[in-house]
Amino acid sequence: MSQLCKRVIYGIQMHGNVKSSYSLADAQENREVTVLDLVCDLSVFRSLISIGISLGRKVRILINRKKVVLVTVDNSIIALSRDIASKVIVGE
Amino acid sequence: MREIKVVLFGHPNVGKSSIFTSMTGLFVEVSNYPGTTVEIYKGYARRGDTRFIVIDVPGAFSTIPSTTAEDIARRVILEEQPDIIVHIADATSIRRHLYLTIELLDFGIPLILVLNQIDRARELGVEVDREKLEKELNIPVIFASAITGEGIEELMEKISETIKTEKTTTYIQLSGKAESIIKDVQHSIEDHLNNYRRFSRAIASWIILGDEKYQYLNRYIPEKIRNRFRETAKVIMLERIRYVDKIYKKCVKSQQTKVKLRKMEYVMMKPLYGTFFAVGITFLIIWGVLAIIHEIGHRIPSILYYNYYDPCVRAFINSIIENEVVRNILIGEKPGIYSSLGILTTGVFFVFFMILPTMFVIYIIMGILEDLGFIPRVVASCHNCMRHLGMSGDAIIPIITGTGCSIVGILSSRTLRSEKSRVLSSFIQVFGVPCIAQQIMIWALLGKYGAFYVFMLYLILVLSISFAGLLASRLIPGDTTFLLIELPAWRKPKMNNVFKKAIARMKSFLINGVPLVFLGILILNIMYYTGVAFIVADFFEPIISGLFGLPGETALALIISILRKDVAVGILGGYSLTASQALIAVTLITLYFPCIGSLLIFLSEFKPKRTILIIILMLSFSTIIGLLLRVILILYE
Repeated sequence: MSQLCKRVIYGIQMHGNVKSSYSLADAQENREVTVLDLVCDLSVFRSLISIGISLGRKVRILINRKKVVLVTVDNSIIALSRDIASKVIVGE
Repeated sequence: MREIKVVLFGHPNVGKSSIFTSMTGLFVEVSNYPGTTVEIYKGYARRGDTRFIVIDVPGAFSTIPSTTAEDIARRVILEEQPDIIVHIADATSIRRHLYLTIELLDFGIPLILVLNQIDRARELGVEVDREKLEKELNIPVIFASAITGEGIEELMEKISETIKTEKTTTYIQLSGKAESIIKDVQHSIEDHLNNYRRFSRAIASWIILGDEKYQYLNRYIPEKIRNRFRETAKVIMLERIRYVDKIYKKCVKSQQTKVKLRKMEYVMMKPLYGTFFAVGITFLIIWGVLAIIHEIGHRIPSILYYNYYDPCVRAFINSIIENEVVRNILIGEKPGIYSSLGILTTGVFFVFFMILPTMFVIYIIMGILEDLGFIPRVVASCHNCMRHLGMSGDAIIPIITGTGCSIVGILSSRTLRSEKSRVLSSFIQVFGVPCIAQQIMIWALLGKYGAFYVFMLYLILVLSISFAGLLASRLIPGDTTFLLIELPAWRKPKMNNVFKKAIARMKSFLINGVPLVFLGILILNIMYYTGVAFIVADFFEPIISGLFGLPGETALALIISILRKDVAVGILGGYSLTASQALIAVTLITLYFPCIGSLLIFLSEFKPKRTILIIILMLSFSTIIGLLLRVILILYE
């Protein structure tokens, strides 16, 4: 099984059934979503995980504007540029 | 006496500096890491017969760096080889920090986990089972609050105890395949690590995880192992996440609390006017306070200087030095700051009566805004706007700092992720952001002709920065970096901490920056007394008069501006210029060439090729802008 599949399954296994998946950049404000996958190169993958946006984590979207997305993870607020947010695959 | 070297490590804005301030005494040393310009703070504490050397490194999200500052944080551990590492984590969001704890365990150095802001975590309903957490991680865990002082003494005791008992840490054991790859890499590189041999496990995992700095060690690793790095890297990270989740579930109970944004934050994140709002507030605070300080405070240093310092120094030098040239170099030909430049008169006035007090105020304000949690919000707010100029939002910080002094601004660009952002933000500072000393002189000079001309200058500078930034972003290769930052919770600034850092930074400027100012004045004097300055001025006179319609003598001010722009603007005050000529001259002084201090720092930070490109851009832009301005002003008048 490829690593990509393993990662997605890991996210789903952690947080139950996922109805649909889309990128964090497309998520609506005030929604709580679960991180399912990070579709990016290794350095961005590392950065996202280090800051706390890792697979299986619940994320709530506070603001989703033209270039910046603000989310909360574990009582912290993280600001991501839209290009990075588009690499984070989430589901409800 | 026993000496214990402690390194404080942790995410940015986690309260590391506050813990550092609480642990150490009043006197703090600030130093730039050798060969770099990232600040490292060193403080001392004593308990019984133990002396603690506490080193506060820049904030880092990971032991694999993505910025120079993070790289320095890691290098401090590798090179200082501390007796113990203290990982400061935020108790309100433990899970986000545990990943770094696991990374730090790989160093094999005794580790203590400090959960800071425990009081706030309790308010948010976060309950941590300390004993379980200690057992799971096999390291001591301390609950602390830098605000109330809770846990600080316990931390000092625990450090002593851990060292005394020679307790070592154990890394997190990964699954069979990942663990065997790490072991294989470790085995392959061990003999090539020299002083870092004890960190072979950490370095092995960095190589697998794609850390560019250690890729050179790949040549010692068999190809069949290297081919498995990609899959192993992700397995390592996923297993670490899983381990963090497991520990978190076992040891932490957290109620679901809804983090809410304040109204101001919503406004700041609006695409266009949010940026104006955020930057506007920052400048309003900085310049508002500076204006008050300037109005109230500038008289005191001036009185001290003119009534006491200047007469005493002149009398003393006149009595002991007979050689006129040497005397003139030291105290100038005539009394007055700008009528002639003496090292002990003008130089001392610039440094001690003008630059240092202003810098101190800027550092205090910036420190308060940082501690408050305001600056990261400005960064997020500016990202949209900065992207158009080829930079990420965090490039606004060095630019704001650069309004105080571009040398400090260029140095603070070290925290940016991409080289392109660093070059561009530094270029913008040297090109169109006048330093505080120059701005004070500009207000004095152009203010004589009316507020309209001061406003015009700022408008010209903003437009010039925008156009030049757009062009430079296309000429300088590289990707615009992404934005990924944490917005810390709003908190009351700890003034002790703010003052301590400001004083330490001032000390650093005194050692590194002040000699440059004196050197500049010395060179200027030598040029002046040998006649070189006049030869150069005569050479450029036709261009200055013909192209920009300025009196020939302005050439001398333009040459002097390479050494000190504020002095050059001051010299213009002695010429009889019309309002339009003054505006053109000040614009040219600001835009045409960086001051010697900024140029040297720029050169030391970036490649000579980039410095040449920046100089060419500045010369061409300033010529075009000067010409355009002349035409517009002729039509206007």
